[in-house]
Amino acid sequence: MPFPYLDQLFEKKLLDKKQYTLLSAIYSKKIFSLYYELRTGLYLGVLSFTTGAGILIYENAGSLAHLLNNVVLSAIMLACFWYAGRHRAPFTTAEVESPTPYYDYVLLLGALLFLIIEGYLQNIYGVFGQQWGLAVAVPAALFFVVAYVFDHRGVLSLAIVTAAAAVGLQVSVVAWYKNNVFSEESLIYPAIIFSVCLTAIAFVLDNLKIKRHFTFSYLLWNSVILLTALLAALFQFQPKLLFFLILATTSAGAIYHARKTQTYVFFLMGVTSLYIAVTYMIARLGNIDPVIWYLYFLASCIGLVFFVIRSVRTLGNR
Amino acid sequence: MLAYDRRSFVNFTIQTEAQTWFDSKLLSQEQYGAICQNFPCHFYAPTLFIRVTLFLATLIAISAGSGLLSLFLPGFSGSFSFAIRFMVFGGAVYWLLEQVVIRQKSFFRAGVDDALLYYALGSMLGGIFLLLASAGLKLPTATYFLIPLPFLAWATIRFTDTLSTVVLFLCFMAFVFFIMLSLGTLGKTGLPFVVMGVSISLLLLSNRLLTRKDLDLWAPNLLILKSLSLATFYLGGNYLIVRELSIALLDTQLKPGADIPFAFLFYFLTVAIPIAFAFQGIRKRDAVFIRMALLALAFAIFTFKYYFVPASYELFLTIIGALMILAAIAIMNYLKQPVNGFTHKSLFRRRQESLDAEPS
Repeated sequence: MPFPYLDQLFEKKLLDKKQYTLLSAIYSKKIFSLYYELRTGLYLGVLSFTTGAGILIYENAGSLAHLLNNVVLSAIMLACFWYAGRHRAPFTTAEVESPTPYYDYVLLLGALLFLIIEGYLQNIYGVFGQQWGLAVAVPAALFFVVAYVFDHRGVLSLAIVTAAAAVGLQVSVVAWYKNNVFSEESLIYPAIIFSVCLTAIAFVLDNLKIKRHFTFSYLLWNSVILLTALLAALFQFQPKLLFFLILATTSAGAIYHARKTQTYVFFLMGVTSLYIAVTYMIARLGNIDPVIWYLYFLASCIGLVFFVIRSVRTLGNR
Repeated sequence: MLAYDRRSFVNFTIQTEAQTWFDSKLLSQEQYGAICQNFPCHFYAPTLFIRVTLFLATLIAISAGSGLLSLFLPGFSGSFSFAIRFMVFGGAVYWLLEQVVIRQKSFFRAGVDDALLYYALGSMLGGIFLLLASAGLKLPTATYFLIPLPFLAWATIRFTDTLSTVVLFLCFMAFVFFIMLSLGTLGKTGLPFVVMGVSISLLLLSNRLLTRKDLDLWAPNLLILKSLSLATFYLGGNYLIVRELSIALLDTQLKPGADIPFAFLFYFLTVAIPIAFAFQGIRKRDAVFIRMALLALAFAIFTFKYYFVPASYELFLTIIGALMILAAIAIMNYLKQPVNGFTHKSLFRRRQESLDAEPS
């Protein structure tokens, strides 16, 4: 992106000589970074490799190629963890910089391969017998350990999603879109308990100042699960008023947290769930005239816009 | 020409860049504060998720508002009166956007202005199309892509809106496509060459406009134009696209062993264009060319796989994935020390590790 105002900033003495030299080198492309291209390449490489390998591992069962396939994948997985272990910085409770540029991707590859191989062993040899919950809980536990020991947010997200799967929840964009996060009604309470527990853990760890950069990942996944579960509970269970009050409190908490930490994704989630809930409660009051509905949507949304402008400061009014 | 106050827009750009520098620890807190004070900006310009919240709220409010109004308007019926109503709504919303939301309230990419702009555009165009339909006119398909062009161009120029730029480009290309189709066999055969020619012209136009200092506020729109015209240039010459489109459009059945006309030219272009893009991108240090080269290369590999490699997709995916990982690692290793200013490190994130990447 061109930026023709550097000279102006330098003339007004808002930048010193060294900063000016460095920045003009960047904007004139004397320094040219391939950071995003290379990282995207690595990430897509890891994704397509594991997607392919995840299907490939089930093919040609019984043949030599099949055995070789398994051995090679396991070897790559072990190599990944060995590499990460060798370069790992000593554990601290603070955020650790990646020791090498490849470290994050190697660890992600190792974790995904573990999931593939473990799932394969369970599917074909039934390593965990009929204990399918255990078969999912084991990688979840391992991923939590790996995430903390190697300081990796991606693996932490993997751990949270796998742990949710162990409870029976399908946490993915597709499942959420298809309204399929709770395949059965009986999963609503486990979902609520699961996300409340994990949120509590996240806040405790945050207060203890242990890996505070993980808090966002915890809260993001759990607020998606919790708010969806509470909305489902509101739609399906009695007494409505109780579930409405719980949902309203949770949404308010999300909005409060968003404003406190300036992570406005929680603001969006809180406001949206609260709005759906309020509208649902009004709709239950009985037959309402269309004019009243139009007035309700008009007034509430204009009110929301004014609330946002009053409460969220931006660049302009900093 | 610009709907926003130009001075504030420029200052907004400066403040945003300064914030990037500050976040990457290149500026001190005092310097950052001084820059913001020297280049004041009174826009209300919130972050992404607030923008989404405001966008949704505005969209619901305006739909409810127009629904409410239509309940109280005298009993119109028929598509003609609906068309007029749409256009009047569109005009009213546009007035609200210009006079109140932008001029008085200084909203800037805040969700509210986005929602009003898209609502006004949609309402206006919907009204025009409905009017044409109610008049019973049978227009050629290309016309339907011609009509939105001035509106989208207006949104691009006056509001620097990037989504409008994307739709503008797509509409224009669809217009060219349907014009060529209407010319019969000659037009259909010449389609790839015309598409490539038009793309090259748009590329040259965007490149020339990008060098103009007074158009720097439109740089994002011009970069989109540049990327998209590179994309259509490649797709115009890609063997898979040309082959499948000729079969579909010209109703030809290719016998086994037979090939499309100029097949070798398109084989050549499929491979040569990504290489040319990459060459140009590295020579000129042009990120758009480099990224489009990578995308074009991916599509070239897919084309090759589609016709010539019998291996299963999962095996192919695994091998390509492994190659991508190895290639990225090899390049990062090669660039461990910056080569001619090329580096694999981030320029603005995590400044501590990349400060040593100073130019020689």
